[in-house]
Amino acid sequence: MADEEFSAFYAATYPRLLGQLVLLCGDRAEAEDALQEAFARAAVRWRQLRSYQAPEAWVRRVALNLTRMAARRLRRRTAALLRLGSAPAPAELSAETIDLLVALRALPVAQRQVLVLHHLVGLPVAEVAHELGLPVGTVKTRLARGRRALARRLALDPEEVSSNG
Amino acid sequence: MDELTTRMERAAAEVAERAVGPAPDDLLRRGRRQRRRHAAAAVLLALALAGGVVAAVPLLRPWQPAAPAGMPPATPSTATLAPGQRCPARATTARLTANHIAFHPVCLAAVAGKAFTLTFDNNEPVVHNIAIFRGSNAEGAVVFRGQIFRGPKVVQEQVPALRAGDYFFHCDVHPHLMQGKFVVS
Repeated sequence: MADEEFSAFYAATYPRLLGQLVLLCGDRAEAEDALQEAFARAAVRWRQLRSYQAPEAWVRRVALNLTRMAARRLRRRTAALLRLGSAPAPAELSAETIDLLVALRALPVAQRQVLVLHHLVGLPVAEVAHELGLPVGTVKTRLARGRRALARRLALDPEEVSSNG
Repeated sequence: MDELTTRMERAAAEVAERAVGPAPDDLLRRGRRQRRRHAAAAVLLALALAGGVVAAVPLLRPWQPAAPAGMPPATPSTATLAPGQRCPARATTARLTANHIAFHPVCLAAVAGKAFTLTFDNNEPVVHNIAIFRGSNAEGAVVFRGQIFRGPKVVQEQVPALRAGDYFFHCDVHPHLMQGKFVVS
């Protein structure tokens, strides 16, 4: 029987983390798989995790690592799917969201990670660097490239896509 | 707050609204199963490293699914026409619609050596464009690249005269989802 406190933590954070992971993976099934795996690991370690300052950050980091490992497998699977014919777009999402997911998916995983952590999760550049084990300069470069590529693909105003990093 | 952050937040909120995860007890069971598997793998590894149990080695190999029988080898998709389908009649004007992240039609035709007007009707609030390449895929030389714009909006693209031959077109924003064939003769 799962701890009540864990159940409450899971109910409160699962939807938010899934939103972040889907944007990061560009694939809902892959994101759900990684996130559920991360929560399964959290469930058996809950006594230890509950004392952490931010258990949500722990789950996100584990899920992020799992998606990183899955990224190569996903790329192979996507390439195969595209060769065999395009998969239908998920009907339950709006065109605007599908548009963003397609644009994000076209970026290298490394750029997607920094964009999602900085713009969506709201981590400052230094924390993104810490989270990913990268130099601050590398994070800034990836952010700038990712922003430029997204602005071009989504026809956003480059002035509006500010570089607040 | 910048536009990109707003777009990301809207998309993530939309995904989150529809999020339905497994029950917490199921997650706990999954976590325990995984722990047992890891513990068993560690024991087998220790035995194999000790060199005493040669038979344990095959158990450590990851499971490989068998190749599905009868599946044809994957071939690149270049939005070729279905059997029996034909391109529209040749003309010095052409119309192309984008809707639901798809082009319609997926085959266009034009007269060789004559510039023509392509009416591009982007019918949805998503950004699209058309880029035309020589040959049967996007690896060929670009002969025309239209502007990227958000619909609903209709744009008249002026395509220069092209030599006779087969061309390929796609949307630069959705290159794998929106493709077509372009015949100049």
